Amino acid sequence: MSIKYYNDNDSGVEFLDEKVELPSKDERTYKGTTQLSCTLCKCDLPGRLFAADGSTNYCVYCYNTLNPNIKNSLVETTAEARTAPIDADIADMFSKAMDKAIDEGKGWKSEAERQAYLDKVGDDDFLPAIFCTNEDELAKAPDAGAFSELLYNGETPTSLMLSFKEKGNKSVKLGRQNEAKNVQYYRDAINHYLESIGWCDKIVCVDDEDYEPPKEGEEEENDDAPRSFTRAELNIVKSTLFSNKAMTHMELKNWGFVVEDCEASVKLNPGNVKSWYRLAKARQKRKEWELCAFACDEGLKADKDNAPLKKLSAAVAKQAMAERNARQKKERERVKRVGTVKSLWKWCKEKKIKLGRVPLVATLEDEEDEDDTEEKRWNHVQPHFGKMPVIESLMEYTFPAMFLYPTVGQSDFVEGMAGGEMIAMRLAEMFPEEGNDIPWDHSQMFKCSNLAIYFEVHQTGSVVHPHSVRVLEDMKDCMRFFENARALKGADGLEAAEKAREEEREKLAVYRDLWKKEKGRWQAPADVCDVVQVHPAATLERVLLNPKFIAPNFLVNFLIFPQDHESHKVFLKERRVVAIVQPE
Amino acid sequence: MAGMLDVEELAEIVSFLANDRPDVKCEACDAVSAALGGDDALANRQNVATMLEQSVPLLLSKMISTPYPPGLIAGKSINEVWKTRVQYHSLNAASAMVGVGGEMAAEAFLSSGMIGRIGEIVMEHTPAITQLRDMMNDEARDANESERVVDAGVAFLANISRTEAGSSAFLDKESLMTKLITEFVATPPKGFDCFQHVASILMNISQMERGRKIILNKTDAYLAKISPFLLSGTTTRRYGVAGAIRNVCFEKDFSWWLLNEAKIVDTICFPLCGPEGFDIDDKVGMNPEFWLSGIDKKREVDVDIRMLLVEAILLLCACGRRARETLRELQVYAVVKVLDLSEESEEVSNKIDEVVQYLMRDEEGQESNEPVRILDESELTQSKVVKPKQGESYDSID
Repeated sequence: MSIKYYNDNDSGVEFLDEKVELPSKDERTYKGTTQLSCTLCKCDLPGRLFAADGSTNYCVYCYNTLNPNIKNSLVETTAEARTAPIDADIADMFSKAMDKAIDEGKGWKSEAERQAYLDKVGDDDFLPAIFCTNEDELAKAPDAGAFSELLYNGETPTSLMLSFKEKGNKSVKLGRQNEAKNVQYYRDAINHYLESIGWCDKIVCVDDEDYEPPKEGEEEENDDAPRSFTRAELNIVKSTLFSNKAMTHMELKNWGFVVEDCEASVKLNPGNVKSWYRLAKARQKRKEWELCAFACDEGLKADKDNAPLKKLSAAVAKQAMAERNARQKKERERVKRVGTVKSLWKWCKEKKIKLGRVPLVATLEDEEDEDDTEEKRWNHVQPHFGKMPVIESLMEYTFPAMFLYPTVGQSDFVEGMAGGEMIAMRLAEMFPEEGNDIPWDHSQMFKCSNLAIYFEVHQTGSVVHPHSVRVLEDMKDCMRFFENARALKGADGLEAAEKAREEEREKLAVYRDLWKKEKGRWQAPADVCDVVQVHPAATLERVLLNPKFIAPNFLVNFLIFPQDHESHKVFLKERRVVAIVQPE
Repeated sequence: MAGMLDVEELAEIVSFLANDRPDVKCEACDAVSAALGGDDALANRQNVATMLEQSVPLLLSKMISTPYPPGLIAGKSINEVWKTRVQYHSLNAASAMVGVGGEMAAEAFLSSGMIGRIGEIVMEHTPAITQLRDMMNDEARDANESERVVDAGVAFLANISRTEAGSSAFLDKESLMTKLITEFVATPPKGFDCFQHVASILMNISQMERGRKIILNKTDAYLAKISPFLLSGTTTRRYGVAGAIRNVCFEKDFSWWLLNEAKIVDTICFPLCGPEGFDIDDKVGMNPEFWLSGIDKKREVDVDIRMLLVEAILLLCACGRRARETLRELQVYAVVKVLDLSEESEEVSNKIDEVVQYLMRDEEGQESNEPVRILDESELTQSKVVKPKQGESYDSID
């Protein structure tokens, strides 16, 4: 038997009489598919040898390695046999079947359609459902419904909803019976209920827009086939589903989920007493006494003589009342505090002392400031220690004061400096002539006789940089500033902080706009503040009453420099000294 | 919108007002309202003056008075709807004119019998309104034609009663007032509130002694009927009722009745109480309703209304020693003290200080100095001007 070499190319098979130059062993490419590859080495058959049954092919190289006996048993097959492996009868049957199908109209209606399909297949965007990896692709895939059909075998949403509800109920029952207290039953039940609720949404109700009554002659599958629902009935069923899900969560002690499901349940059906009871119970477990009492009341509205609800209501009544009283007490304290600020304002107005506000937020949107770097930097600049001025009478009072030492980057806070107190006296206490024990004053340069005192002048014009100090215009401003500052520090709870943030952001937006109008862009930097020098013998009162003075954040800020220090000289170069506060 | 009208524009508007076609008339009325609706008060007043010269009020009254002759516009027959629309638009324009123009404009309108005509409109449309109200009283819905025209009419009355001439003319028509008050009291909280400005009318007529006497009339008991609306959801109602009560407290002769029979202190102080509650000592003699809602009690949010109520208390304080002692027994001082702590407005705060001074003072040896404060007629307040709504549809209800 001679070896025939065949050369495959697009136009079919050619018989070659001469030996063709075949690629070397190393150049062989390997397929791996069953079709048309060498049985032994799975290569791509650069030249082909056909064996007896057409299923065994050897490439040239492998052929040469064969046992001579096997070689003898090999039979060439012809090209035609290769391309038409099937029997003639079978082929005949095939073509008859195809003709029959085309006659029945199952073929392509036109060449155009067929071509369109082929184009579509070739198109990269066309993704059959089976290859889809996520929901969006599934939505685009044209045959997605087919899988759903396959899975659910043509059942209606209604029947599915009911079947999942049954499954859920069964799971719960099993879970309760289970002696080992295996909670997985409950988890299954939750999933069943969830699926059931999902199917609820797909049910078309009688009073919906696209409801189509069943056609004449279409029989029901069986007698317990579900009837159609009105929207109200469906809501009741859905409410029960949520209620059951809530019950399951109760078994799992997921009180948060119980609350969520019960709220959904009563929203759909306010008469569902079981849901109200479960809601109340969950709230009790979460120690939300007032909300529990509320749920009990609502439940008793639906069913006046419900014993468990009454019992629960009585049990939490005392704690609910206590909670309310606590809230009221907090409110009263808040109001008292605000009242103190108010009287402070009135006093300042009488004495003609100007109070100033500092901005409490640095950003307008949460995204502007990713890790709160801006906010933190800002809060650091003007800390509020919570100490306020204490007013005894028109002349007897104390004000908190901050002594800042830019030379060494340190500061001192005095809780209450008396109005009649000379600044020199305070400084003499802190920095005695003989020497001080302060750890940061290594070279002992801070001596009371040697110190220069300044305060900054804020708000010289009507338009102020958004982050600068600005004067508080009226009582309302002052009270709101105080409350918001407190709230943002977290003293009154999360809700109050959020509200305060909203309010302050609105203000910041306004300030930015004004600044933008003035300077062209809101990020334009503020001008450097002028300063006023204070004679050491002046009292605090003289400083407060100075027309250029504004007390930002209810605080007096003094800048202190050692007279002959380099930093003092630099400071004087940078800032203008516009006035001096003299003692009386 | 704002700004002075020049001569040509005015002449154009006047000619359109006299036109036969109802849609043209409506547009002209809207132009009048717009010309007077701007922010520039001076321009508005000048516009009114020029309009008065051109007898615009007469034209507007004609539109409201004359039943529309049957006829055709562009081949279609004019129906009742157009008549109501014309009335609505012209009432809006008239309202604006009186609101800006004051006495002079009021007189011009009164001489053409506007009040009587509005009374007829109200009577005509009330059955339809009552029917609507009974059918759909729980839904928030847009106003229908009847409601809008009645609302415009009542708004006009509110504006015209700001003037003395207007008030007297209105008080002459007692039946109309009775009807309006009945409807005012009967309106349910939801749905379109077309009688809300009756409260403003009451506030304005209470500026005159005659008006006050009518409100304080014991048989009609108007005061008791309108008092609950101090807690209404609509700001107009609350403001009007508060103003009426405040003006009524001016009558020293009625102070005993107000305090002891009408229990006016309960009405006035309830909105001023908040969630803070009171100390146990303060609760002696106080009406329990002030603290029973606990933390849920919401104080009156509008600063003007709070001002009116505090002024009412101040007026009662000025009514004599007996009055002050009654107020002390009822623990008004405690209420007002708590109010002051969280009060943000300086004006209200100052008024509260005055009240506190009255209530805390030592009564011995003060007999001859009654009253310390002379109650001046000029202190009586009137309602704010009702501005007609621009454009076809009403905004959502308060």
